[in-house]
Amino acid sequence: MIVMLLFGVIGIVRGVAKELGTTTMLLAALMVLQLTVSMFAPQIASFLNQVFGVSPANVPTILAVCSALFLALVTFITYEGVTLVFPIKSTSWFLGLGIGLINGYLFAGSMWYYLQKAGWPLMHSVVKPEYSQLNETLIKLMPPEIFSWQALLLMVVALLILRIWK
Amino acid sequence: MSVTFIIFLAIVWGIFGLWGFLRGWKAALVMLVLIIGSLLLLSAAPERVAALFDYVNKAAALVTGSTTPLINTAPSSLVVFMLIGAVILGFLLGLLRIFRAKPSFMGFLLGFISGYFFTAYMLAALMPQRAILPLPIKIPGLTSVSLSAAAASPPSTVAFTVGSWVQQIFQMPCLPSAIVAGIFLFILLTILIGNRGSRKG
Repeated sequence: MIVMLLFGVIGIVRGVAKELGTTTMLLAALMVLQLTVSMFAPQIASFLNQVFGVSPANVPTILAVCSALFLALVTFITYEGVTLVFPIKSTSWFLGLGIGLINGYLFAGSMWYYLQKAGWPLMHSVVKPEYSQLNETLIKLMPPEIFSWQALLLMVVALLILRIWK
Repeated sequence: MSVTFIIFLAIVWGIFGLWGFLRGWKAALVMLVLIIGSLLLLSAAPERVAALFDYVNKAAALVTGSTTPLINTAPSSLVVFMLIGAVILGFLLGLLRIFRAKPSFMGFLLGFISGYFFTAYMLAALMPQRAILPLPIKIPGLTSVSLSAAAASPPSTVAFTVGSWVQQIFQMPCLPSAIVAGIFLFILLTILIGNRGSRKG
């Protein structure tokens, strides 16, 4: 929640044009992750097993950690590096806040989901596996759980068309 | 009937009224028309609305491959779905420049009435034992109860807490799809509104 609010404030400061570019990249990153996991999971598991000797029980954890790192890297690049900017001159703080909150939900929600799936690596002393009822309810509403790769593909294509369409 | 419950209803009406005051009478009127329109639709032709949502269920089943229906077509579920949809749509339309007006008491009044309709029918749909507000538009399957009957109802049947209400919303099967659709629509509307602003310079 706090991370989401932080992203909302960042959205107001950066403006809606830049925030929409970040949304597009976050949705594209999620689509890549969802597509990879849903289509190539057996191949990745056998690759990890044969090359690195990873046991099948540890494959989901490694996949979840890699997904979280990939998402963090994409988010960092979209905020600090190359930025996709939409041709919008609106300076409405409300729209910036709304899109910023969506970015916060996409990033923080996905990180939460992947880190929980990985069993909260490096945080075993802080986070215990007995999760609360609220956590169990909310985790079902996190982006990787509710966005299928088909829906993400549709959204990314629509956003890219709207980016170049005048 | 607890005082907390009455205060909670008043807070919801106040939020609707405040929104109507801030956005002006035009936006508040749009919201009211959408809410009453959706209720009239459910009153006049509930079976047609249910059939429409059945089509949505069939389309969703084709996409997801799931056999369980996405939207429950019982009258109470349809009321909840239509009212939340009307409020979200009214809120988004209220952001458009053509519906902008100066803050006024008329906006507050219209927003307050919207709040009444919203809470009255949501109560009748989600907590029938506590539906103390009269329902001006008759919808098959929905009834209100008198204040004395609500007071006499055993507290164990529906122990009102905001938490239980939120829990019921979280358990709605259509919630994940609604979140995805809501995010997509908000992004599209942001681009449309932003483009309108940029053309006018």
